[in-house]
Amino acid sequence: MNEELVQSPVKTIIKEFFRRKLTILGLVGFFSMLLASTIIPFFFPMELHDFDIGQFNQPPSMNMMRIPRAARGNIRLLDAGSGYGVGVSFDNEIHVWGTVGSHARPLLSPPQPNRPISGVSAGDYHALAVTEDGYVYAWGDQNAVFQLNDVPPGIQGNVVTAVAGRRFSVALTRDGRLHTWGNWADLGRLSTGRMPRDANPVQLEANWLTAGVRTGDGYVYILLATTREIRYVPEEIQGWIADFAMADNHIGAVLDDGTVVVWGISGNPVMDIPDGIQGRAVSIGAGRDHFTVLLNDGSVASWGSNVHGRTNAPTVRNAVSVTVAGDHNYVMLENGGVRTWGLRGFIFGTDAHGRCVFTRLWHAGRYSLLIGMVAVMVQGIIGLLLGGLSGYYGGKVDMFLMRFQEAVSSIPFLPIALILQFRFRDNFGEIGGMVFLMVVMGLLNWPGLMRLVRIQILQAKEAEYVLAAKALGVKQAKIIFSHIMPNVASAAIVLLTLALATSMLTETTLSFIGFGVSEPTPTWGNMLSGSNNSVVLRDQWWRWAFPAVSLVTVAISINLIGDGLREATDPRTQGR
Amino acid sequence: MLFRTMPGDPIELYLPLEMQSGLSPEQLRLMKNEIIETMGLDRNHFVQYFYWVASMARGDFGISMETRQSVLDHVRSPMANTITMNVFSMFLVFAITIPVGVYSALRRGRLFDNTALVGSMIGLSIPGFLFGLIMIVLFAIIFPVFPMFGMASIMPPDEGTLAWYQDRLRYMALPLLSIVFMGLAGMIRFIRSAMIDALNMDCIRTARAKGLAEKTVIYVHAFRNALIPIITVMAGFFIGIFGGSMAIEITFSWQGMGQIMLNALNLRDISVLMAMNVFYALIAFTGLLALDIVYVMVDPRIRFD
Repeated sequence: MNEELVQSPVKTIIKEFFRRKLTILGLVGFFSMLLASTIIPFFFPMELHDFDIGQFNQPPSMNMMRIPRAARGNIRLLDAGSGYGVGVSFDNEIHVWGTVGSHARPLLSPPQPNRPISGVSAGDYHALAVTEDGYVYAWGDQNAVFQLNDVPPGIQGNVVTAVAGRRFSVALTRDGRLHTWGNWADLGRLSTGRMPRDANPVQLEANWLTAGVRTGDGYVYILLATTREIRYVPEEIQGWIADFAMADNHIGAVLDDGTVVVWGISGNPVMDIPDGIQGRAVSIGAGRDHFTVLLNDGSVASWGSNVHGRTNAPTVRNAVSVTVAGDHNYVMLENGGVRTWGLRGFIFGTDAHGRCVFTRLWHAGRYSLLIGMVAVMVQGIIGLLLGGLSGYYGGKVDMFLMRFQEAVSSIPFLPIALILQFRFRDNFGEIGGMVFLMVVMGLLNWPGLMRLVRIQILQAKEAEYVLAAKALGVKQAKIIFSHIMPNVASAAIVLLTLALATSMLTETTLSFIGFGVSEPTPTWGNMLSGSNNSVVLRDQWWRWAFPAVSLVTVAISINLIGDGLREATDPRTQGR
Repeated sequence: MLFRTMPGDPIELYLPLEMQSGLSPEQLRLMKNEIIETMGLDRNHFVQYFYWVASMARGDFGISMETRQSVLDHVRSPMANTITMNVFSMFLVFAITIPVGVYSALRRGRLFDNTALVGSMIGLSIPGFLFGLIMIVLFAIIFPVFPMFGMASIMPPDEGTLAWYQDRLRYMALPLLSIVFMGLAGMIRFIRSAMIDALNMDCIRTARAKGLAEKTVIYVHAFRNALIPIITVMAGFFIGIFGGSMAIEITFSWQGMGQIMLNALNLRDISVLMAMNVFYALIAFTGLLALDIVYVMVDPRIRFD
C-alpha cells in the first residue's frame, strides 16, 4: 500500500481538479473564449448604430478587392460596387471579382460583348457595360420587380455613358438626353428639375441613393438626393466644376483650379478636407462616407469616416486614376498595377443590417458572459444569504423560508420572465434593461442554491468536528468561518459554476424570443433571433452558425469545469 | 394587477381604430364610458382583482382583446396542443432516461457511462431552441424529411382519418424531438447519480450479502430507493417543461401556449395573460400535488394524515 502524503483539503482539490483531461479542456475553452471576448472588442470597436446597408448578408470572405490573376496588370477600365469589382482588360474581357449576396449572384457571370467596351459601372445589385458603338449591357439581380436588366431598347446604339445606382440606372445618349430604368420607387424620385433643357451633360455619377450629372461647361445638377443639403450645389462653384463624386449624404467636387469643395450634412468627418491638397486635386471619387482624390503629382489622399480602413490611402507617386465605391478604393498606376485599400471582406460575413458578424460576435460574447456572471452573482448572494439564515437559525425562520423557496421554485421561469421583462424593460433604458434582466434571472433562480446551502449547514452543524469545536469553546464566528463555510463554499461554487452555463443559456433563449437584451446591443441570443427563418437557415449559415458555436463552446466548457470541480470537491466521488 | 400598470389603454385596445374614426367625439366618449362601466375599469385595482377572482371561479376569464372570443375559447386549442406535446414528450423522456440512467450507473466508468455523460453534457450546453434550429437544418433543409415550421399542411386531410394523424405527427416530430432532447440530458445525469447513491446504501450491501439475485438487488432494492429523488425531479420537470416548451413552440411556429403568450404580450391582451398565469399556476399545483401522492405510493415511510 502506498503511503499517502497528508495534504490540506484545498491542495487535494486542486490536484484532483487538474487531474482530468476534460476539465483542462473546459478551462482552456472557457478562458480562451473569455479572453477573446474581452480583448478582441478593443481592437474591433463596434458602433452600435452603425449600419452599412450596402453590405448586408454578405457571406464570409476576404476577396472583395482581390483582382483575379488573369486580369492583374491588364486592367483598362475599372469600377466597384458594394463587395465586388468589375474590370475590363486590354483584350476587352470583363472580369468580376469579390463577394455578392445570394440575391445578386448573376453579377459574378458577366456578359462578354464582342464590341470594344468604353465604360463600366457597378451598382449595388447590378452592373453596366457600355460599348464604343453605344450599346449597354446590364447584368445582376434578376428580381423582376426591380427590372434592373431591362435596358430600354430605344437607346441601344446611342449611349455615351451609363451609371448604375442602387436599384436604378441612368444612361446618357448622344442627343444629350438622360434615360432611366430600374426600380419604380427609386425612379419616381429621380428628377431633372433644375437642369436647363439645353444643358450638355458629359459626366454621370450615382451612389446608392444619389445621382447627379455634370455638364460640359462645368455645372453640376442633382438628379436624386438623400437630403436637402446636397440638392443645392453652391452657386459660386457652378461653371468651374471639373469632376464630382457623390457619397451618401455629401458631394465632393474638384474645380478647374484643383480646389476641392465638399457640401452636404455638416458636422461629418467627410467635410474636413485635409490640408495641403487644395489646388492640387485632379479627380475625385466617393464611397459611402468618404472621398478619395487623385493629386497632380500622382499621389492620392482619402478622408472621411474610417470604418473598414476606407481612408488609409497608401503613398503612391504614379497614380493614373482612382475608383471608389462603397468601402473600397482602387488606384490604377502608370505601370498597369492596381493598389487597393478599404474593406477586403468580412471574415465571418455580415448580418441583415450589414454589421460585421465577427465584431458583433465578440462584443456579444462580452455581454453574454457578463450577463451570465452577474445573474449568477445575484442568485449566489440571495441563495447564500437565505440558505444561511434558514440553515443556521432553523425553526420558524427555516419553515417560512422553505415555503417561500417552494413558491418561487414552482413558478415556471420563462413565462414569468417574459412578463417581467415586458412590463419593466422599457422603464430602464439600454443598460438598465440589461441590469434588470440579470436581476430577474437571479431573482427567479436562487432556490436550488438556497436548498443546497441549507442542507450543507444542517449537516455541518450536526458533524462531530463542529460539536468538538463547540465543546472546546471555539468562538461561534470561528466555527462558522473555518468549519462550516468551507463545506458550504465548495458545494456552492460547483453549483454556481453550473448555474453560469444555465444563466447564459437562459439569456440566450430570452433574447432569442425577443424579451432579453434588445437590439442593437448584441448578445449571442439576439444574434440568433433573426434566424428561425428558412432563408437564413438555408442560405445564410454564417448568421447563426458562429454565435451558435461560440455559445455551445462556452456552455460546454463551463459545464466541464463545473463537473471537474464537483468531482474534485466531493469526497464521495474521489478515486472512483 | 401588474398587468393593469402596463402601457396601453385597454379602452383604446378594445375599440378598433376604424370603429373610432366613424364616430363623433361625443359618441366615442359615451361608448368609452359604457365600456369603462361594463368592464369595471373605474374601480380601484383591488376591487377589480376581486371581481376577476370571482368571475374566474365561475369559469369566466373575460374576453380576449385579440379575437373577441371568450378567453377559454381562445386558449382552448393551443392549450390542447401544448398539453398533448408535453405529455408525449414526458413519456418519451422517461422511457429513455430511466433505462439509460440506471444502466449507466451500473456501468460506472465504462464506455457506456462515459458516452452517456459526455452526451448529456453536450445536451446540457445546447439551449432547446438552438437544438430546434439544428434539427430544422438537418431534417428539413439538408434531408427534407419533415416540414420546417407550422402545425399542419396547408390542405390537411380530413380530421380523424389516418392520414390526418400522420400529417399531425409529421409536423409534431421536430418540435417533439427538441423538447425531448431538452429534457434528456439533465434527467439522465440525475437518474444516474440517484441510482449511484442508492447503490451505495447499506441495504444494498445487505441484500447482496443475503445472496439475492443481482437483478432483484438492482430493480427491487436499489431502484425503489432511487425513485424518491427521481420523482421529486419529475414534478419539477413537469412544471418546467411547460415553460421550457415555449421557446421551442416559437422556434417552430407551433400553435401552443407559447405563441398565445407571446401574442398576448405583444397585444397587451390582459385577460389572456391572466388566464395563462392561472394555467401555469394550475400546472405547478397539479405537479406538486401529484408529487405528494406519488411519494406516499412509493415510500411507505411518508404518511399524510
